[in-house]
Amino acid sequence: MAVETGLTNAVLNGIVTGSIVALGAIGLALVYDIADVPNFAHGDLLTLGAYAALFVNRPGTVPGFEAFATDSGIGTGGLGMLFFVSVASVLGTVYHLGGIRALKGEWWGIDVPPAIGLATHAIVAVVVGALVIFGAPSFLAALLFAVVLAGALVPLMESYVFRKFRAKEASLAMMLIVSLALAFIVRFSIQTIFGGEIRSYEVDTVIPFFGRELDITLAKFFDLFVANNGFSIGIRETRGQEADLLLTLSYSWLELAAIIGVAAAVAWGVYRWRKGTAAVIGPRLGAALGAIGVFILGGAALSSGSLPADPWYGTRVRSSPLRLGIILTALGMMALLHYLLRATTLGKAMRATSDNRDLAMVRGINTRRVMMTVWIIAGLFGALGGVLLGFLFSNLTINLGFNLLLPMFAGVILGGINVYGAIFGSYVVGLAMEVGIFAIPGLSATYRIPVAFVVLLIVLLVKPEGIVGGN
Amino acid sequence: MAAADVVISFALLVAIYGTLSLGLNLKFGHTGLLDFGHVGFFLVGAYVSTFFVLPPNDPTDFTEYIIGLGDVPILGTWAVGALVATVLAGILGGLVALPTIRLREDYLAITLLGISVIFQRVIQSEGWLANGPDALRGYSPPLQSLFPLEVGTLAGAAAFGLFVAVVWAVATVGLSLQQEHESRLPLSEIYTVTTFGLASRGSGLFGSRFTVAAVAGAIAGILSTGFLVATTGILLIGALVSLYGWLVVTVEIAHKYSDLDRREWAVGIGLGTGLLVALLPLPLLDSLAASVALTLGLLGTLVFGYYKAVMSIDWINKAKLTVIGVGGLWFVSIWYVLLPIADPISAGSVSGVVGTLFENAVWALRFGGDGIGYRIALVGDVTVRLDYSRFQLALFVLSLGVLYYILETAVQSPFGRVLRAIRNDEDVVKSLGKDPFVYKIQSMVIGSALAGFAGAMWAMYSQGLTFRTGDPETTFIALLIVFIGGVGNNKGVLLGAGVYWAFQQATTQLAGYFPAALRVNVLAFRLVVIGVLFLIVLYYMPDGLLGREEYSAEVKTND
Repeated sequence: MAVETGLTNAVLNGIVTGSIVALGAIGLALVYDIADVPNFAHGDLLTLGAYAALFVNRPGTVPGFEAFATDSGIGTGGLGMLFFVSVASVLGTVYHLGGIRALKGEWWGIDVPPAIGLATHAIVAVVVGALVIFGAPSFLAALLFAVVLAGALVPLMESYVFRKFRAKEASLAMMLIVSLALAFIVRFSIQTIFGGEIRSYEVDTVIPFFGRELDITLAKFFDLFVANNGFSIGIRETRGQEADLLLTLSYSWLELAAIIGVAAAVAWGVYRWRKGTAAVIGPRLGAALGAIGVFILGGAALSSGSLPADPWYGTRVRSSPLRLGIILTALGMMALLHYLLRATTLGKAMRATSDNRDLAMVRGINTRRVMMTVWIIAGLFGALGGVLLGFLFSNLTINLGFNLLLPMFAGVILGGINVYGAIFGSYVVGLAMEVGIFAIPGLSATYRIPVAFVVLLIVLLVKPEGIVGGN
Repeated sequence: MAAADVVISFALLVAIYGTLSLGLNLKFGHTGLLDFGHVGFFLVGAYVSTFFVLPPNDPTDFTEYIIGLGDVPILGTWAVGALVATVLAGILGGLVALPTIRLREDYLAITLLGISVIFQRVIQSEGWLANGPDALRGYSPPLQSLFPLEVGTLAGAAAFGLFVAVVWAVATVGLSLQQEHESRLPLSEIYTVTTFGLASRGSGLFGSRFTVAAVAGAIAGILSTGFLVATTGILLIGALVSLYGWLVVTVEIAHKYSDLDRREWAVGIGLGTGLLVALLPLPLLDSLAASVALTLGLLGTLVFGYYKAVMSIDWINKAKLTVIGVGGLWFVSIWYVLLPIADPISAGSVSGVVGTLFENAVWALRFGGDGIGYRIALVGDVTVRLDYSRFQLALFVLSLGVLYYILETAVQSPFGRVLRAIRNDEDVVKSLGKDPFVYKIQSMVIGSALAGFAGAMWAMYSQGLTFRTGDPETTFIALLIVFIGGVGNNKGVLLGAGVYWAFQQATTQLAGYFPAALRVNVLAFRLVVIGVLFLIVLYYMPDGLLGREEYSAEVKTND
């Protein structure tokens, strides 16, 4: 039985797009909020990450580096260089946090003997280096390499450019222009090295999955049906012409009501339990996690049944494991960030600096380190987003990141220039882009970015401080 | 192509980008509105003006566009097209500004950038509008049908007369500034002659030097038109105009650098020569890698040496920009005079050497091809003509001159003072009973209109438009030009456009020495260098080469 894709499909696509926008927007928002730089070079940081991954993934296509490439991958000399660069990047990233003293563990926020700090950093660096060279030329190793490299390179923008302009008390307009110049430098440096050709990653997309093989880029159809006896989902795979039915999940109305009821109860319970704590998992996050947990458990336990013969309503969602993976990756990274901001000394310093930099400085917070942390996070998240974007689009162009700059800015401004707002704003923008393209007839896909922009424009005109409220 | 022709095409681009950047300067420099979407109005202007000259859309061919008014009399001309493009871009600028102008400056920049991207996307994706992602071609630049010029006909003579008039007027303005200074040459006498005696009759009759120059140019243009209808002496007039141009340029340079010591000259010439030596490996060495490495090494040494000298020697530090100016001039002179005759010299051809020198000296005419033939002693047979790009340059410079004059009048009027007051402190303006909102909108309208006119010029120049015309890079370049010359300084903007395009032309010529496969990389590297230079300008001289212009207003008192 054939069903058409519809609004649900657009919503899912919007969540995927929103996830990628959010990965970029997190760094942009942190830098905007704490370092006071509306960074027009941020889009090009994504491009930087995407192209850096090519050194590991497709060494044969990197000009100047292809000498180290062999038929099966990278030669010993190339591996040595990659190892060295990875180790240096990890140590360099830590070095940004306060020089040699940071390498000795000062930034951990607890008292550690220098030897332990040094040794830990060295071990982490070597492990990362080893992961990169033993994993090469796999996609994940390339991703890791790009991320650590960006983490070390991006803060240089702060220490060599923005800090100097800040010392001259440059105005916000000046910072904008400086970041635009930096965007130019980053983008065309990449093009100087890589030239004008379009590139792509080489990824083994078939992974083992519960004893079967799963092609993560191949589209899967999720057919959703609403019938008189309940709600059901059929998952089909598109291989060749026919679409094999992989899995059927079916729920009667009673089962559905039970799951929803239990989820609501659990959510309420967790909310009451977490209320009044300022811990990492606050009441709302806890409630949401509880409800999602119930949905997954209940959905798995009560899934037996078959697809209805004559449903009232059916709609198809077209997606691939890669796209779902991007959502999960983004959520995972956000969880890490949330932990960093809520549970670590560094995170508390960041939040304090965001609230009031002068007050934070008076209270003895090392705002310079906070500033560097922000840039490191911008680099890490940006590179991750860039590599995922390159994989999703299956080709890399020099404008890859710049094209995403406007949606990212839209997300950040919608959220009122703070990290949590930016995540929310990014999903709004992502949904607006995909649902807008779906819902407005005659709008081609090139209008994605204009649609995101129109949303921003409307919000700015109605509520100039952003949806979430501002500083 | 003779060196003079390269300079002409350079000047065309300076005129276009000068107009574009003047618009941005009004918005950002004078009013403080950071418009990152300035290119959007340029794009609109370019496309709108072409719709007026394109023939009606032919559904059977490959290009598709919404309207082509080229066949309509009067309406379907460049003049109307450029006018409508300018007005429309201005209106659009105002409409865009109405809701957005109240936003914070960073939000405003992002919003305007977004609007320019929307314009670009519309052109890119709507195939029916302007041929979608493909180039829009099929029109010819203004009055090109007159070319090649028929000397002896009124139309041909008048076209040449227009060129003469514009060059004459511009040179006369330059001379009128110079003749006030001390000079060994009898400048005020020459000025009296070239203005046909108008200047000596006192300022009462014709007011400012601009009016005098305009009238003198018009007279020169009419005279040469009459002369060319009667005779075929195009070379005579061309040589005269060229000579006048050289005179003004030489006097200008001599005065600008008259207070330099011998040692400063030496440093400047050393810099220029060093640059030349550093670039020599590119054409001379066969191995690309070796020549690139050598050139980069030498350039690095030169820049480092200059930096060290500026840092450690006091008198070089005081003249750090002047010596670069001298070095640049020296380099350009060698490129213009010596490099073209290198080949004839090595071939031992005297007539070749003299001929090349002569061609570059008489820059007002194009040599070779169809034209009027002459036989000149030592040079041999030559043909000369006024080619289309020189005529186009005259048109562009004429319109730029008029716009510049209007703009300069505007920014020196009370209106301009209010704009600068808004830039400096909006609350003060409010407290004096002026509404900043109205003035900001007006600034956006005029600035965007200038961008629209520059777009029309671009359409005339490029003869093919794509949506890439609206790339955000163009705004960046306009911003760079504004910063090089001096924020809020209209004269500086023109200088900035000159500096930027001189760099572009020089590096484009260098890119010719690289294999085609590497050209993308080389051109990208050039943009990296531009970005780095921009940062240096922003950091070390945020007020640009000419600095922020000081405007003063006389306060009339009743006593």
